[in-house]
Amino acid sequence: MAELDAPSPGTRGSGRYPAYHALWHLFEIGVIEDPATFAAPAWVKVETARAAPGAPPPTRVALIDTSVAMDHPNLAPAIEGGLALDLFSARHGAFPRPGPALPPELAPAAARPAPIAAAQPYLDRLAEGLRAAHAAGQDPAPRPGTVFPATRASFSAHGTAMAGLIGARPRAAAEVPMVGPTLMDLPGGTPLALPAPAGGLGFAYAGVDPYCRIVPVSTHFDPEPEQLILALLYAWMIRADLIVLAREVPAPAAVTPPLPGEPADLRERLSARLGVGLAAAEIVGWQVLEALILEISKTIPILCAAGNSGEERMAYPASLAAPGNGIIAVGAHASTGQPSAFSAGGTGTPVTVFAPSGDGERLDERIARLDPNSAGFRAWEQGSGYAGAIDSVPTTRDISASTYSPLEIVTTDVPGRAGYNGSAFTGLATEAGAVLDYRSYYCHFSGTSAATAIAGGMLSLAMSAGVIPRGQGPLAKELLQGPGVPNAALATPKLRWSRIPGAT
Amino acid sequence: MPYFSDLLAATWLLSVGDSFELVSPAGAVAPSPPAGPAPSDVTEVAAIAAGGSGAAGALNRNRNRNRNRNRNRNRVLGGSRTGQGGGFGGAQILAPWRELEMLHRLAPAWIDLPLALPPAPSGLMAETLDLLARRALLDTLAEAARRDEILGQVDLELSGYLRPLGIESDDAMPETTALMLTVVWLAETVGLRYKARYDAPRPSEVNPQLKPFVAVPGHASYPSNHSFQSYSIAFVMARVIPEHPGISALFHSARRIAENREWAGVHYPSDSRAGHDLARMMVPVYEIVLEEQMLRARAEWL
Repeated sequence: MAELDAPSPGTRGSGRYPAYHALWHLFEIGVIEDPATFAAPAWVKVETARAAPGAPPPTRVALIDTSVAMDHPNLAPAIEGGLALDLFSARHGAFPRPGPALPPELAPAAARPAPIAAAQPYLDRLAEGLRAAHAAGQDPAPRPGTVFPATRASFSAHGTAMAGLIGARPRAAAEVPMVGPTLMDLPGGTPLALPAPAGGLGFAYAGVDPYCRIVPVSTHFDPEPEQLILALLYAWMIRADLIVLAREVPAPAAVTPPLPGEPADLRERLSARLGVGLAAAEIVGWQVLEALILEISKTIPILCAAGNSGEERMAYPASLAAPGNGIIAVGAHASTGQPSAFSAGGTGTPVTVFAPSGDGERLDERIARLDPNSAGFRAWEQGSGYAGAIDSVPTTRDISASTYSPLEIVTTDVPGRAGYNGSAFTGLATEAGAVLDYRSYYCHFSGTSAATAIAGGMLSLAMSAGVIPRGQGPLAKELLQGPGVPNAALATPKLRWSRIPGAT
Repeated sequence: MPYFSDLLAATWLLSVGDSFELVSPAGAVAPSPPAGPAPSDVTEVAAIAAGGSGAAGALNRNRNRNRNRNRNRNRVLGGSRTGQGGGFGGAQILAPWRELEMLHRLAPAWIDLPLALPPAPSGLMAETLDLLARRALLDTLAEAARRDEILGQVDLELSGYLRPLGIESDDAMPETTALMLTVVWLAETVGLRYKARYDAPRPSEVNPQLKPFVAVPGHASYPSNHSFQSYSIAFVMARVIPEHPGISALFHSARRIAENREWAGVHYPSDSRAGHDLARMMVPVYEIVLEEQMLRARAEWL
């Protein structure tokens, strides 16, 4: 009797993926051109512009997101710590890293009216609260009435990933020295020697615009409008050149219209749906928020994530993008050029621009896209409904022809245990606060968030290079988008440096 | 060529499987830093050089999800304390002594948070009018479901916090459940302290015409601990998994649990508001006291 053999599982993923360069997206969007020299004409243009007499200050990016691990070696030179503001814990903000002097932008002398009259009371309260928070922040010890910022690096994964894509700085080996492992002698005392660690390895990661300055504005996720109103007004106060807002906001305007039998009144209808008693003032607050987003975007372009639902309908506020405003709805395309499986956006209100991101697996009537190389993939477990037609264009029955892209975006991560890529070393930090594992400083990242950060970096780069003027949201959007008719099925227009007029 | 280009050409960061490798491509030359003052923010990073020990490299690729999570945590004790069926049988934890100790060592950071003062008696009386109206509505058929909720929420019951995140039983996400139970415990001690400070009367004391639907607790009204504890869970989870699409629903659920105590006639709306505000201001303390638990809970979701 021979051995019993298992039935053939058919084609099965090996799980072996090729390694790829962490900065592939910078090649994709045409910022870095030559893989031998990493020549980046856009960066040359920025350095030339900065060296000219009377050059404007670095582009200032307001990143409305979670908090950011501000001490990451690639991020520390990019973050304007003195302006970083946390709106999570304190209603009118707390400064995690306040400088000794009140930033001039926040002084009463620099005050200017709110972009819309309805936001003026918010702005007045914010300005006063910020000055009090700055004074309180001068004392590291708790004082009566002090609310500390909720900005611990351990819970800053999303913001850290976003900041890295926008403006991380490459750092040389001399700036961030690395220490190799020490090796214990064999029992009995025979010493072992390791070859010296490879010299000259830098912290070689770059954002799209490594010349910009990033102001983290961290928020909580309580579905109420006030903190986002205040976050936008803060970006207005500090005269940010662009705003990156890669989150879905649960605003009433985004919900479905009244169904039969539901109250016509918005407040009553939403209260019934959500099971809570919304106050009329909250509804008004959401309306103020929307008016404010639209108005601010006319001077400060706002980059919003199209959403990861895979739906035609985009997430709010990306769905507000329209000609005449500066809201830039960013969709995601995979390394193959196709729309990422999760990327929202259809024909109704088109995505402004598609930027690189990861891909996803999906099996529905619109997209059938699986990863046949995944170690968990077994062809025999798949139904006959798509019968191996795992291509978004089901013209082939060959599994190997799947268009699934295994490339993800690589970005900066919270060092150590926390973040998206946690280190196995839980407590082995040096006295300088560093951990024993550079790998934990980077992570894989995806979603339309990643695409939004990359597009934000590109817009910042164009402003730093003087190719796109500051202070004109709709124009910035038009120039970033470039010519051509958007086509969600083809993920066009794509974010490309060369598509910006005057860039090359 | 910009200095940044030279740096990137000299060292490549590669994505390799789940992890990353810094490598020096063939022929690469490390660039000299540009002239000028030395960078001020030098960080010492102890790292294992790429291409070094293979074993060490493999170790580094361990990710959170593979770590032994069974030590040093507050175990969720199963059991059916309340006798309810289903997946939320009344999970308990051992006393979180280490976290309570840390909480009290950090007392200066939370003992005097700028919580609004409670309304004066006339304001409290005015708020009871709304409570009277809702108390009458509560007895109608339309609010039958809410009556059941209120009775189920008299004691701690986690479904209102777990379901919005897509969890249907106490033991499906043990670290997340243990974190929530610890948050509730810590919040109770902080909330009782603030209640004692203001010593505000319950609505039915201010307006005897209000007949509470459930027993009136023997401690002061302001702030509402149901609200404070519920929002503490929501705000902490908003730090742990801000990316989770259920976070908004979790906040709405916390709000409903707080409002249910108003419907029941044992709290004013101002109590609920204060619980919300206190929870929000407590997060900087929670994220220090509960850092370990929060990271373990997050690992369940990555």
